[in-house]
Amino acid sequence: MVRVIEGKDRARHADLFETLFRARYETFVVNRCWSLPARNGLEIDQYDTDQAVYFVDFDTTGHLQGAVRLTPTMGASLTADYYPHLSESGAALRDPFVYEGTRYIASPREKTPENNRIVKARILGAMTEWAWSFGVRHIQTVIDAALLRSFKKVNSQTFALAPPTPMAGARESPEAGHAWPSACP
Amino acid sequence: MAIRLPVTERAINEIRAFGALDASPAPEPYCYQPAAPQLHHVA
Repeated sequence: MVRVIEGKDRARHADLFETLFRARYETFVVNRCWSLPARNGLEIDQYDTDQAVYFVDFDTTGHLQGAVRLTPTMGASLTADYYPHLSESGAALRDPFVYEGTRYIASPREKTPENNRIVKARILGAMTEWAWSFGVRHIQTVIDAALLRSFKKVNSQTFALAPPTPMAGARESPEAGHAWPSACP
Repeated sequence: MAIRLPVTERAINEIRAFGALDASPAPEPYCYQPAAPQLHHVA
């Protein structure tokens, strides 16, 4: 089941959030070596606000196999904060009908191509269906340019806000952690 | 690169097709909470 929880309910779901923040630490700080704020094995940043919406997918054994964080761009957009130059299309990076996706995890317990596809579809599907149900028009994110094609394989209408440009994302970059992870979808 | 993923019925169908969710054991029901914080402020 994909659980959808708002940041304002973090205290009520303390165990779930600890599991999520620990998985983020393992994924982004330990495995990807991103330079991110972390403490006690938990990765939490300034975009983990009360208004953030979290999608967390556990398998039948309790393993966290998928997750993503959506933030309302009017109040919390790392793209607007750190990468305003990545939009040349005239699209406003802060838009009431646009949410921003970050900290995406797709990690099935058994990493087969089929499981990877299913887990990605579950978390991206839940995110998209949730957004659809509330009238959100776009999910915005930052990726390595090489991944655009793979995103289009999942959602063919995906489009770039500007041509590719050098950006953070390398392991040594302090802002690397602000990008969508390079292995998805 | 900044990208946008349009939120459409077509997108939902494509994502499901990508993961063959119809054939997967139990991907649903999703447990949605009735809230979209930002949209509370949209007239």
